[in-house]
Amino acid sequence: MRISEILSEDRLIESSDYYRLYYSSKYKKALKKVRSQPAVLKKIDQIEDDLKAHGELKNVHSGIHLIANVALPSEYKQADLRGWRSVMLSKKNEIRLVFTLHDEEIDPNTKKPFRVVEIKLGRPSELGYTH
Amino acid sequence: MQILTESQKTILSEIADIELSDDPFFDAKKYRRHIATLESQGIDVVKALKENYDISDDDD
Repeated sequence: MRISEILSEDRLIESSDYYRLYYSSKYKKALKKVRSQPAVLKKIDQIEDDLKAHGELKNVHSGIHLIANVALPSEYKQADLRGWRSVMLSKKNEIRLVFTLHDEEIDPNTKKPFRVVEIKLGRPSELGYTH
Repeated sequence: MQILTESQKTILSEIADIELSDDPFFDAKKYRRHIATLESQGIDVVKALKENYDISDDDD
């Protein structure tokens, strides 16, 4: 396959709701706790935009690390999984956004492939790990 | 009790709809934008949700 064809496919994938953001059950509650912190909210916007478009972070570069050797509970998969990435949002109150990209699935209705990005928000202790 | 304008009530109702939904694929950007709009107008959203929709977070 030629590179132009691969790039073309990528664009198609990225513009067709390929990546779907799945928010943990406590995400809204955590968002309300940071509602008066514009810098944190702006960074959350950037992260979500990146994850929605690419399934990974391409435009956010700081405060990212892999949560190594710890399995965090996935509400989407109903299992403890390794390989989550964490982004520091606020040193002051230790708020982190953690996410993981799940394997590709086929939408039973549209028959189109998609991947779920599961996202959690909160302090490490609330998310299931220590730092 | 906070006094809300009609447009503020409309926005609050949309926030409440999202709050009460169990959809994990909800529109988080819209949710944040609505909260920011009300907060910038001096409305305490958490308090308003409690007062108007009896929505509260357990440990708040």
